[in-house]
Amino acid sequence: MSKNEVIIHAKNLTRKFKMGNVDVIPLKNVSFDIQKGSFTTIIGPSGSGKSTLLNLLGLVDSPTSGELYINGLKVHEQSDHQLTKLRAKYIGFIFQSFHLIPVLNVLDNVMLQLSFSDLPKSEHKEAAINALEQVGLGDKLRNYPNDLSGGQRQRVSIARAIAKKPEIILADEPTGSLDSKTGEGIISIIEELHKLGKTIIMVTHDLDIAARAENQLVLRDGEIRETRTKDQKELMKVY
Amino acid sequence: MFKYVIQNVRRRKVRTLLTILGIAVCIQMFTIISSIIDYTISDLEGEMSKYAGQMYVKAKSVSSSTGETFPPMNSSILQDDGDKVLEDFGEEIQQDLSTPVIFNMIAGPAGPNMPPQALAVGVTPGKEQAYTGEDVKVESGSLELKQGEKQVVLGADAAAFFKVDQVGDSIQLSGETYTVSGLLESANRVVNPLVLLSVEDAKETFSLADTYSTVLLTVKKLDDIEIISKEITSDNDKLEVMTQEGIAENINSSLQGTKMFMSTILITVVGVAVIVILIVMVLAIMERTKEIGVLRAIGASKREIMSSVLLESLIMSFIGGTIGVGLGFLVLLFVFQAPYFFTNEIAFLAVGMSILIGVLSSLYPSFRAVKIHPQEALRYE
Repeated sequence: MSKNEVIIHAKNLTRKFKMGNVDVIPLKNVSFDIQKGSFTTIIGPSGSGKSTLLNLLGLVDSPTSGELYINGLKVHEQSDHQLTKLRAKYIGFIFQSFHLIPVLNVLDNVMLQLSFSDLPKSEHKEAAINALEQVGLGDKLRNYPNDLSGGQRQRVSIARAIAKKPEIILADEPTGSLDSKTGEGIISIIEELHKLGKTIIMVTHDLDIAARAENQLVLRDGEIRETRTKDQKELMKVY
Repeated sequence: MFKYVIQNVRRRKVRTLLTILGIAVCIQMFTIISSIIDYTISDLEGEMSKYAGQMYVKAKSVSSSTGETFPPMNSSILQDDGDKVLEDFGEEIQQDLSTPVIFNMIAGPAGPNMPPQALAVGVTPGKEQAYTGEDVKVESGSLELKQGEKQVVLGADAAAFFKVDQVGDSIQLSGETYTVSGLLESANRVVNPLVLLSVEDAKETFSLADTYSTVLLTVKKLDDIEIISKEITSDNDKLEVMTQEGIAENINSSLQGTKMFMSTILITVVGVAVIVILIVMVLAIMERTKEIGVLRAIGASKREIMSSVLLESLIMSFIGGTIGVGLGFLVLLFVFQAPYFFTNEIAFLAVGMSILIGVLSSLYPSFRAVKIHPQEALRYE
């Protein structure tokens, strides 16, 4: 896999909302490239546009203007239905609050995600078990989310995200609801996924965790103010 | 996704059970009402077809014919007028199937649109089939009455009413003792309540000197009905004629009000069932806004979300519907004691209706569910 291969290309991404009579612009003309297999963190204060950017990259929202390409595909012009398909194919989500389905056991939570993917149904169970074993939960398949600790739930959330083998994993404050020791375990798993070649994009408030990524996007007032690399060299192209 | 739907149904057990119970009660009512309407109409239609060529000469109604009963139990005509009709049209009518008739109610219907439990019908001995129809089946004894021997022939419902199970038993009619000379097999709403006796015995027992209730004529040629009918009414302005067509019209018009009332109840029942599931599903969708947002974010399409809501609604309505059909049958069996009202068609119709209820009640919740944006999953983090 070539690290120089661009998997996400964003050009002048802008997102506007209307709140009453006021125009709110949480993201203004943001442009960047993300290489395939890279680990990028997005940092910035509250209201800087991190979540808006994550929504756009996760294809759960569309830009008001600008262009967004994933794997060379022009996603900013896709319909809602096509975005859903692309989301199911390319994106794995890890949420801060885990968002597991409480009425389904661990295995079924992961298999539910697979039912939306292109993977043949006969392979769902095996893929789900593999993913859960990968995050160290091979012995908790029949447990329900409420029986698990916060760290274990987040690992289920990670297994759910990786089971369908997506190219991009988006993590939204994955350690935000965990203590530092448990959070460290989760970051280690995410780093392992990166080593396996997954493209990781993670929103975090924690500067120490952010610094462990290859690339950092620093957002402020809806604009990219800074891009950093692990060795402080300009690696990402900022327009 | 199916497992997710099943688990959602089980998620709020009490709420789900109450919803299913609500649907079951609605479908039970639907089953009972539909069974009664269906049975009444098909039974009457079946009976009507047997009366082609028959006409009842009865006393002229003061008001319009709307709401008159069949047979014309409340009519009373002079014996002389009745005998004159029989004599005047002796050539045009089938003598063995034409007779003066006296009606006397012994026990009224057990429920709306149901036949009487026991109705005394006096006919000329030897002409019993004029009233019962020629296809009546005798279970024991004989259909034929003997003049002056105080005999009765009982239909199945009348036999049950008088607790008679064999020929030779006695019953009391207005203080007089009659011997049961025949028992009929269960047949239809005309034959089942029948307490058949001779017209002379009926006059004496029910103190009806010089009057009949009606005269039943069976014409030789169907085409003569209209001519005979006109002649009877022009000869005697106190009489009118109820033909098969008129009987059908009368029954239809008297059933119309009942049918409309029943239909209103049916629509209300279905409406209530739809609203019950609708409320439950809307509440469920509101509770699960974030969860549905998560499903959308991890790749569930709008169609999959819509299908899950529809399926959840259908599961509850189908289970409730099936239980409701069972309860409806039990009510018909034990309360109305008329299991024959219940048919496979009604069962399928009721289950079909419960499915329709499920579909209708899931439309709005589905619409709400697919409107939930995947961003809901990432909001308020």
